[in-house]
Amino acid sequence: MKTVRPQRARTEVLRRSKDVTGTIRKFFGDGKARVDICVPALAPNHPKGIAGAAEAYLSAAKNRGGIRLLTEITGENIDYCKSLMKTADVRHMANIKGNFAVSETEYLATPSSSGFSPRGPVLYSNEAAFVRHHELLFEVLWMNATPASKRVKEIEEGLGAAKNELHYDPLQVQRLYLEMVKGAKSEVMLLLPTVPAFHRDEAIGVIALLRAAANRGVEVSVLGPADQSLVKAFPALDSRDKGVAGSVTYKAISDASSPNTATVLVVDRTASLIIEEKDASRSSFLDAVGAATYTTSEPTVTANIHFFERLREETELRIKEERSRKDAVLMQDILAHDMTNYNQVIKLNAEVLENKVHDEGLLGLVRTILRAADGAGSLIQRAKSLSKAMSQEKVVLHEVDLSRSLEDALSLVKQSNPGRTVESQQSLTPAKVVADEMLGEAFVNILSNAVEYTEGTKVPIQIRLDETEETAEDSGKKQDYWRVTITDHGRGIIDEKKRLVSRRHLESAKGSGLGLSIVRALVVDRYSGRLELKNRIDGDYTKGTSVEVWLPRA
Amino acid sequence: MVTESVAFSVKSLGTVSVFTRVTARGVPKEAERPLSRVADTSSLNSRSTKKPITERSKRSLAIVEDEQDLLSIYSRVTKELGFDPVIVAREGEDIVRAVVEGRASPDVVIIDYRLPGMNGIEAAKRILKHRPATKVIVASADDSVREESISLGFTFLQKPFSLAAFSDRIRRVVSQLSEGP
Repeated sequence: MKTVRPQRARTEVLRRSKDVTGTIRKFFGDGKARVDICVPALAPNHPKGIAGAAEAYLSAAKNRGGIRLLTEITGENIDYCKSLMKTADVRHMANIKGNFAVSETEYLATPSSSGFSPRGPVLYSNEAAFVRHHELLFEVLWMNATPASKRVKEIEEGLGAAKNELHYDPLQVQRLYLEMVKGAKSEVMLLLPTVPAFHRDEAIGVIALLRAAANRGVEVSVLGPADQSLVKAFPALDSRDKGVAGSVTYKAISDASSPNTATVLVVDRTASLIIEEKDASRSSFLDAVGAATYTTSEPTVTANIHFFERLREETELRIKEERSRKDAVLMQDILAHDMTNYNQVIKLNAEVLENKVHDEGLLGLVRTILRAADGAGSLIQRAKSLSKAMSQEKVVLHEVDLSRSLEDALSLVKQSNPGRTVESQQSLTPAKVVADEMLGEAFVNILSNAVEYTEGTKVPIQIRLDETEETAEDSGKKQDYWRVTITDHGRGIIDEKKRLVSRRHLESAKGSGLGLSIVRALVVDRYSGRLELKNRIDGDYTKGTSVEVWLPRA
Repeated sequence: MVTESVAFSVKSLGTVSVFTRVTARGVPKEAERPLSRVADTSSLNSRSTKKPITERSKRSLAIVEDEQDLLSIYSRVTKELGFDPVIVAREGEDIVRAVVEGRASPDVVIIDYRLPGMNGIEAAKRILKHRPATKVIVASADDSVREESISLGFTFLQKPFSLAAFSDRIRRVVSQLSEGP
């Protein structure tokens, strides 16, 4: 039986040539699962110290794996490093001065690459505490190093090494900030977190530099708080810069979009600077700023660009929505006031005429005017409802009694059509859905359409209510619905129009008196429900329509 | 700039000079414009308005509406209902000033909400300070002022309304007026 003697724990400085070469050979020669090596810039023709030993080991250990080599890759040693990359995992760190190797069990170091001598000194340890300490040290360095492939690409494409710098000195931060804006060649992206940040930047000359950058053709895009002082300041900047190659655009972000308190600057899509706002109450830049992170690292700069562009897109979308909302309010206003006034003039004058005219032929004409006025009034009312639904900024949905809403709508439509007999068959059960007070508007529109497009005095309508569910394809989440099916015997809706209604509500407005547009805007857009239009008789749209309204159950 | 003319006949009961502000419809700034009184006696022969409702004693009515054609038709109908005189104005401030200065004493005021300058409700409140017994009908397309109107004791009539509804509201308001000279 063979007895394995445990290795004696030792930490020592080797000075004799025999000990040095023997220990190094043994360190690299053992069948270790992993060896981490940290050396300065490798010089292939003159491998020295551990680097020289490592080089020998690496060439001997081809295809074995398990080696991590941390070094500085330069234009001089790039080819050599590329050859090393075939057998080891290599990373680059600028100005690395370490000169050690560590495995799971041993640690080896020389004082410096130039100081190596076969006679030593070489520090060796197999004591667990020393080994573990240097393992951790190597991990920290490794995590902060650049993958060799990226560094090689940078050198081969003529790019400088990526820089990642953390600055704590406010004066240095200010200098860097100004230099970056001043040196911008094609594009500046700047996110100002607060109003005081803008004023501080203005005081140190950043805003003037932005203007100067725009004047020399740089595209300058600034995002900042929706504060009047900024909103006023930047359009002024804009107008001053009209006619020059570049421009300064300022977009006010909503408070909700800007939870951060850092200034984010990206210049020419190659460098970014993030400046913490340590104390927002201070008016001086030097007093207010905290640490700043400067980087030219492509992934980090790209991430900052993405963040800025995303915020800008959200802001543009919000501005567009606000504009649409204002347009909708204006439309609502025109409809509510001016159009209604004109309609009122037509209606009252026609009614006065109706009372004065005795000629049956003329009376028929007057009554036609009155019917048209009533139709216009109804259309105005519906358009107002749609406009109101579109213009609401915040929609608060709550539990609504669906059956009650249907009954009220039916009653209203019956009252509004005194010359028609609405023969409704409905089987309504207590049902609660997530909606709001505008839900009835959807049913009034569906029922009004049914009355309008059914010929004859009698208007048969069936209303059915049942429970159903749907599972979302993407998330697999199940949603319970109440489904209202309103079936009429009207002249029907051609298939093309049915498709339009299901696709885009505004396209469907043509010829439907806005009714289904409103229904879609409410059911689909407002309540996250579904709207489906079907033929009452399969394959024959002329026999009437079944409108299915799916509403999320409360 | 457009100067609009009054479309209905005006019986001269004295011209009241009123200084008005610029309106959306182009009434000249600082223009002198009469606060009109309608006293046309032609019959309307309306089924709903056949019988004058103020025949026992003449009631005064003021109409405040910036839409000229509406002003005309309101005047015609109310005149047929027996109001005399019918005073018309196109701005709230005009009628308020006329009431304050004693040039108009309307028993009933029919007023639009959205007017150039002072809104209809504000104008009505000021009229009531000087003539608390005056009854006010707010005739507006703007449903959002319904509650405020009602809370102030006014009658709210939402546009568009029918001739029958118009006459009916006026009858109801007149029936609330105390008998007087």
